[in-house]
Amino acid sequence: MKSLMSLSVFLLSTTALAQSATPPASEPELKPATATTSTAPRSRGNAFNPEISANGLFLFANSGEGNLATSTEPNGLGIQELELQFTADVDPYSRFVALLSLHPEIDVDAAGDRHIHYVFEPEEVYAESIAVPSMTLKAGKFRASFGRHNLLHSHMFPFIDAPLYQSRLLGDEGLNDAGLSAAALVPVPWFFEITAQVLRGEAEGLDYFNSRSSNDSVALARVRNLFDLNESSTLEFGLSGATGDNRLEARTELLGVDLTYKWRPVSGGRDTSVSFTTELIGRTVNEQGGAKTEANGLSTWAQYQFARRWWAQARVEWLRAEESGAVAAPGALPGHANRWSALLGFVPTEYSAFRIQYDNSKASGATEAEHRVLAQLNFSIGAHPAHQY
Amino acid sequence: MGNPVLETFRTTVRTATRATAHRLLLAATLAFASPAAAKLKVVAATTDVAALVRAVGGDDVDVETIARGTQDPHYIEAKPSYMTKLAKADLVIANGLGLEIGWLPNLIRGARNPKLNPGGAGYMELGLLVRPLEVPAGEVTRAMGDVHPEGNPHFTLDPERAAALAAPLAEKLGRLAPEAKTRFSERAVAFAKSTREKLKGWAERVAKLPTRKVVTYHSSLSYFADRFGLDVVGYLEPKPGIPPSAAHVLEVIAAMKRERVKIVLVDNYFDPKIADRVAKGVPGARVEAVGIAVESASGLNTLADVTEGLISALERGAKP
Repeated sequence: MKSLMSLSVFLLSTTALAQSATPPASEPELKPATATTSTAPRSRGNAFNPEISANGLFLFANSGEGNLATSTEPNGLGIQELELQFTADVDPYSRFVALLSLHPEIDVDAAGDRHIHYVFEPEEVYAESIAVPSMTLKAGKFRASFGRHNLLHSHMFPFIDAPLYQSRLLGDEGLNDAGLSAAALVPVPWFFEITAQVLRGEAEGLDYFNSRSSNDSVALARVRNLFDLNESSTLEFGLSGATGDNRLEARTELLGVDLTYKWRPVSGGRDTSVSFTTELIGRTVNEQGGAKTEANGLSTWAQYQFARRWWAQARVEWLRAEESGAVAAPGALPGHANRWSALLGFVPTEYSAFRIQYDNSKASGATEAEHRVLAQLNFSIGAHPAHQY
Repeated sequence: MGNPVLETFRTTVRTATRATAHRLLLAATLAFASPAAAKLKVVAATTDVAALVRAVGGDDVDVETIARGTQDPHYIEAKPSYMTKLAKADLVIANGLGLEIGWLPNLIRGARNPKLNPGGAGYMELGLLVRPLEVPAGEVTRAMGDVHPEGNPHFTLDPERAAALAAPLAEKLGRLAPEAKTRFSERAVAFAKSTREKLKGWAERVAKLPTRKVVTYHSSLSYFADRFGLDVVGYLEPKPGIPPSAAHVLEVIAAMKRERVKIVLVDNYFDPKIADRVAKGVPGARVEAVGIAVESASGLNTLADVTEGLISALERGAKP
């Protein structure tokens, strides 16, 4: 109830702020005498329909039996995810985005047989401001601005699966929850953004933030800096932190650091590019009485585009979990894990990609490394996809 | 008891916060120290658009460009540093006709500068003011390649269309900077006049060419070809945005032999290797890597320089 009230207060203040800011004045048409205006034939009923796009990910996975217990992807061929996206401006003040995801979930029955069924759920559904100067205000359910990878949808992942820290420390679907967000662009010579968010902390997979009381929420902050080293390369540095009550009646803290270097030459940039990303995340689940469970994950990866349509990539990851608490902490992890992966990608157009990935992982307690091969087909239809950076 | 990694995080956060505070303070000091710039701040999506803005805006505007002349403007990444540029801009000018669809909307949203929103006082799209070529008739699907439903967006290579854009551009600039309104109009008239005069000269030179048949890489020269009556016999790309396949290259070679085409014009941001292969397959054919955008090569500083470069390439190709 409290969060509902704060949501309505937020929405009212968003509108008020937006109205106090000058709404974009509509521009009278400019037509030189020699030019004619192009008007695409659109029926009146459809003119304001949202931009619609669909993305389908098909996955083939094959791994040793040992992986099955911990892997989020079952062996065999299947749909990894179908994502539907609807986007449009609502009015002069806000824009609405709905991303709906259909994906398989695996049940294991009493006899130990695995059954796949599909769930259809909102991945992100939010409204954001378009008329507030220097700031984007957002309300709804969205991927939280925690680190770099957490903001990506699965069809934009640099590898076929999420990094270990993402799936094991933040949850299967990452830190994605209902809440409010304000992201300000600070007027300095480089790109400097400060984001503050309040999340409900009760979404599926967020066991580490799931407190006994529904009045508690999660507070999150992120700063993101991007420097142009020269016309061809950039360095991005981000810091994120989040804190909220957990079910042990104490607080859970998350901290993240991310660093990305990208190079794409101004000349010949369609045919070659390089990027390096390192992301480090720490999670502390505190308990009453001072005991705590700590876990850290680090992933670092390189992406090399060696021809217009071809990518070669490598990733190395570590995950460390220390168990010192007396009570099993929510979202507790079974010890340590290391993994390295290699990927080869063929990207014929902006709308399709074929990728094959090999993973070599070793968890604490295991005597030998486990091998896994993933192959993924990625297709997008509909509205032109936005070029992310 | 403290987790060493978390401790490192905390120290890093503290140091970074301090460093950022220092930089902010410095930036604020600089901002106040420098005299208030009265010039209209314009961000142009491409170097061609920037060249038009410079021709009309002159010293009364500060122009920054997003896509460099050496970059394929269809495939620009939405770098956050461009958002920082747009955040400070009074006006953003898009080429339009879908050229920047993958990146400009993202950049404008990220800039959080509401006057730049499409339809706002600080937004202008030149493509809406020209008569487009190659508007697909009937159904459009991506099986046709990267087609633009609104028509071919490379209209800045037609000197006549560029000349006709000067007046509405002056009007827009004049509305945002009324004190310079007259100067904008005068420059627009002068630009249109000089461009149309040059156009006459270029047309005469093209008329003297022994052949007007060409092959190009992408459909980026359609407006240029249409204006000067060139016959584009084929494209090295089988479909827009799709790199040449071996089979398609053979078809182009056959077409060039059949139609006696002697010149292949390749936008200089594409790989010239395939064009060279075509030229080897057609005896006497010549490949010209041409700059098709302002600042795509040294010496190409205005739209007239680009047209001049293209006409010269045609003349070189026509030599026996």
